[in-house]
Amino acid sequence: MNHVLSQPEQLRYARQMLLPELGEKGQLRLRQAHVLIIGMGGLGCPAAMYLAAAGIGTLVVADFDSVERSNLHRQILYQEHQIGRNKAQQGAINLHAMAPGVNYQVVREKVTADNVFSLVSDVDLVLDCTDNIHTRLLINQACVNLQRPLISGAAIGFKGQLLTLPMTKNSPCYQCIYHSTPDDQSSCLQDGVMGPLVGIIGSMQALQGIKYLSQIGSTGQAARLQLFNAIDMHWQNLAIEVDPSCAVCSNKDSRSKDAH
Amino acid sequence: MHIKLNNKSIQVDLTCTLQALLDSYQTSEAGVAVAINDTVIPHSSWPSTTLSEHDEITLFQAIAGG
Repeated sequence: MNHVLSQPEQLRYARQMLLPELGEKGQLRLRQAHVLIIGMGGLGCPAAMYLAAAGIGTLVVADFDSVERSNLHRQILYQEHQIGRNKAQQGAINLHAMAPGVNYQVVREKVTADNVFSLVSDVDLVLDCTDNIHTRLLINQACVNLQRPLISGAAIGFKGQLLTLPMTKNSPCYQCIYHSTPDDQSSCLQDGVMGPLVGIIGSMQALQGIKYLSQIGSTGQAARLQLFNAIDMHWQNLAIEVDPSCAVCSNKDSRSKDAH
Repeated sequence: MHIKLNNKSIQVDLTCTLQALLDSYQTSEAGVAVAINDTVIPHSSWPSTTLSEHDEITLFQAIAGG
């Protein structure tokens, strides 16, 4: 591994490397990082664009779905003539045109219990940008078992949620917050969603990811849940505690043994 | 005593637990989470958590869209 940045890299990342919190050291950390983005929709598009532009070493983009006309008001990585193409594959092509220095890996299969563990085990950080509870629970389970940090975004209507889970030994998990799944699984398909709202939440996922990977602030230690109301522009910042009877992560000892 | 539930002032008994409060407002617990004074309270602690004067309760739901 080359531990210096090339001259084009120095130029491309100059304005973020000027930040003393990042610097060249942080930039090299970003270049070494492997990040998995599951779901290349409204959240995944801006998250992937900012992570690619920031110089993440390897971005794994996963989505089994194809671009539809009704996606285009919020899934800003895709163009009108790309309707019908697979989102992961087309997403990687469009990201490559924007930031060719990143290594892109495409996962066109649906993320299921059969592949989630191998996908998560290969990366340093996971961004959950999916659109359904079932996949969210699978991703949480894999991140708990493999102790991979998880930055989970969600949005519907005018409401957004950003969840940062370090998944260290004493960190809570998704199911410490939501012990059961909602009865009615509202989705963008049924209920609608504001385009810039998913842009805000997806961008926040990228921001948290960049800070985690370059070791800025307490992103690696502190589990937080942020609720955003886009009507009155109000953010609420919540602390999260481990649920000692959590069905997924309560047995911490077996969790750490599994991971090593 | 007075508490706030999602920014609305309400009156509850001195001995009111979080579980009792939620039971009186919520038909289903599915996908529901609750925070007191900006800390999420795990589901297993709802029955044993008693409320205090001026507590600010935030009741919210899991959202899955993206």
